[in-house]
Amino acid sequence: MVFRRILARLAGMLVVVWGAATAAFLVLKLVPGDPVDVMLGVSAQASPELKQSIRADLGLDQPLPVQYVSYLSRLVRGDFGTSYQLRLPVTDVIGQQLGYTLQLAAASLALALAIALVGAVVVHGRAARGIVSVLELLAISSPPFWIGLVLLSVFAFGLGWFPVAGADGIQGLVLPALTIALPVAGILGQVLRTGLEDAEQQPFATTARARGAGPARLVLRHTLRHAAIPALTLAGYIVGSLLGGAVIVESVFARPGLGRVALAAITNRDLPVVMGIIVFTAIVFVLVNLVVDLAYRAIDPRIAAPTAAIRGAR
Amino acid sequence: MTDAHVLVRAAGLTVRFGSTVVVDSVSLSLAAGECLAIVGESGSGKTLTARALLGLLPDGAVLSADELLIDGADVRRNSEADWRRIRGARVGLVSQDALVSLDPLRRVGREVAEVLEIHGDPVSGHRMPWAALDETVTTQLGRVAMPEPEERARQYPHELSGGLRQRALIASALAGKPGVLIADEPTTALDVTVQAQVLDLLSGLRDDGLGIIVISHDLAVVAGIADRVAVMRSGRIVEVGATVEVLSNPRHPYTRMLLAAAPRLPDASFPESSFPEPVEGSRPSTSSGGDPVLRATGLGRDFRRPDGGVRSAVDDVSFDVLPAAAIGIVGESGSGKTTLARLLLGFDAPDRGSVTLDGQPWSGITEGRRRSRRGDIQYISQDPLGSFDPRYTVSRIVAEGLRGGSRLSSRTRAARIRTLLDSVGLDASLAGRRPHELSGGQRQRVAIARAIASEPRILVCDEPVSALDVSIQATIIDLLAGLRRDLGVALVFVSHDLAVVATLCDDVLVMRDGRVVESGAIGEVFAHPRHPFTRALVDAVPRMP
Repeated sequence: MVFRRILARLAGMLVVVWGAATAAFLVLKLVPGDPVDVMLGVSAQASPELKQSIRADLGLDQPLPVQYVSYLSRLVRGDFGTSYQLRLPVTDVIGQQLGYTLQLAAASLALALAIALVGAVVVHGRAARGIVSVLELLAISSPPFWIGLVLLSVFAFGLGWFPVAGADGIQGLVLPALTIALPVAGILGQVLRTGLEDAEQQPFATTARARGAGPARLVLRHTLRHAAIPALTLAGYIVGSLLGGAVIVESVFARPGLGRVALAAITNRDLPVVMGIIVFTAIVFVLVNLVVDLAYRAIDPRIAAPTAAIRGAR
Repeated sequence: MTDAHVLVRAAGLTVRFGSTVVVDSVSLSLAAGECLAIVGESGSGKTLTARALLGLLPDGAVLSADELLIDGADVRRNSEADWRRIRGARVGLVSQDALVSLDPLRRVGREVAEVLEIHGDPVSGHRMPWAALDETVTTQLGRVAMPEPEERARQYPHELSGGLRQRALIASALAGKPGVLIADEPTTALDVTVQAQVLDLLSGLRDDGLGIIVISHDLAVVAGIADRVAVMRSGRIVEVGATVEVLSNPRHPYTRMLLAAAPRLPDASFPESSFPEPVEGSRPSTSSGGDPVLRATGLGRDFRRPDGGVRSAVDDVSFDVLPAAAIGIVGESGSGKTTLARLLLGFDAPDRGSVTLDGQPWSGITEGRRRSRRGDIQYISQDPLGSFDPRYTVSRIVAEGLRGGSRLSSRTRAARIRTLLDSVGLDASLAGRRPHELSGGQRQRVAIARAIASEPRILVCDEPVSALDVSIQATIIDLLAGLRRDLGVALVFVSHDLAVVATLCDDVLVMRDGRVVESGAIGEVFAHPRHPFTRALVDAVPRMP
């Protein structure tokens, strides 16, 4: 039973990644223009014969289904192709930049969680919630590039506390991470706060209070776990924000990273890199969802014991 | 009663929300080894009175009292921190439905241990080491007669049955060794047989010296356990006295009304002739003749268990419902009553067997073919509020039930709605109200008006009065009996409450584990139950002295 669930789950994950890979392939084949021209650069003077031989080399003269099958079989072997621009395997291109982006994403997530938790736990059920919820709304509705520019002009140009650009050390990480973290913290804080307030209305919270539990114990031992369940549902949105935020923030703060590589690959029509990043992103989403599902089960024991009708009538 | 044994004494206890007084000058006292029952209908202030003794009133409530002593100490000027020292250690709380009153995300043992983590060892007040904590939890669970306490401590509330869950909740309230236990509707969510066990447990704890304040809407439940009863209405105690005295010789009209309204299961020892007729005139002459309106043949419905096995929620159930007949379906939770009702209504398809409506197939056909006949069979649920669109007015809700409602002229439709509201005893002035502006009884009347709007031949009612106060319950039962008599509509009445079924129905099916274990005329089945399960069910029904 459990074994079959895991198999079904893995199959589902593969379908999602395959779907993303296929969509990437089709979209990029539909884009007008000749990839060989892109590879050679605008200024290159190449004879049609040379172009033709390059095309044959890359298999671009084959019919579309053949190209698709060979593209998939290379993907399965972990071969994402070679970047037209950088002349490096795509896996190397992603691998080189991944560290910077991971650093940024991890720092953003930690900051967002910290801000959201402090905002939700301290403020829930108090008069100050009104002010905080306005701040949260402001953070959610501000575009990240604007937040980045405001932070830069205040803390880098104005106060000079942090460097304007670059990726050196913790100092260079603070403002970019904060830029991504603020909108995420806004929505996460709202969900956590509502979750805490809902949980405190539940009968079990009354029971806990009737045992003499104070507010700190009530939050830490009881209601925070309940509030974490809806917050976990946001994981997909958050990962999307972290990756999407990286594209903008890495440009605004001139940091190296996956986001900039993606941006450059798209503007330069470096198709193998774009496809590599799409597939990589799909894999990240699938893994995050798996982790979220496992976390659900760890937090809520009731999820692990579903009672389903045989034909799923309900 | 010497003063040393008095655990709680309150005088002039008043709770206000702004200028609204919800608890009005209540005086009460509780001694060790005594059980005081506070009985009243919803909104009587009984729960707020109890919460005041824990300092746990909702936001905005203001408490005042001439005297409020707990364990001899004046608690009127207590700070929140003072109250926290009292809660759990001196006064414990048990609420209704342990499935939500215990934290569903925590193991039962951790919940029982919590009060000890907060207050320390009940005797010394010192912090308890882990090993001692585990041991005390096991002892406490054993004290409430929990089988295999060590294993249960590692389980989650949803993994325990309703009765064991309630025992765990009681254990968690008693772990801090409080002298006073407040039990707020402690058995309302339980089956009758389990209710009897939990009441036994509470009686035993009282005999060991615990002072218990039990709060209930049900006089019969407290009759067996309480030494004294206080009857509350609109925030005031209208009558208080020894239980036997209040129940057998009620002085206040309200107490008399409560006693009269409570449906009773006649005593099995009475000769058959003394069995009261169901509500007067409710048995129509047509019930003897005619083809059945609804016929269930060999119905079965299976569900998959988490371990991969198969459980038959309904198994081999066959019966006929004649025109204008009233048939009760009784059983404990999980016996398959509701699944059976869903099969009859065509909300769910049977795995085995079939249902026919008016001699035509009703199960095993597409919903499209059922739709035009849906008006012949209507459904009334326990929760009318959940079955209404909250934005609809009463007249629009009732209009939903009219057949071809959109084709009627607005004047005809309005007239029909007025007639329908009138026939369920609702004033026409309510037509413009929305569901949340109605009382519980009014909502159920609106649901009934909508159900009879299509002139159905049969009404399937699933616990239609379980959520209502007894006085309201009685009026809704009268209404259903009257509709049966006047409109000739047949009733299938699903309920856990044997007394309600006995008042309304002629025949009864007793269900257990999806099967009908006994069926027949109400008087015969309840007075001379043949199956041991029916006998246990009948015996467990709480009775007035």
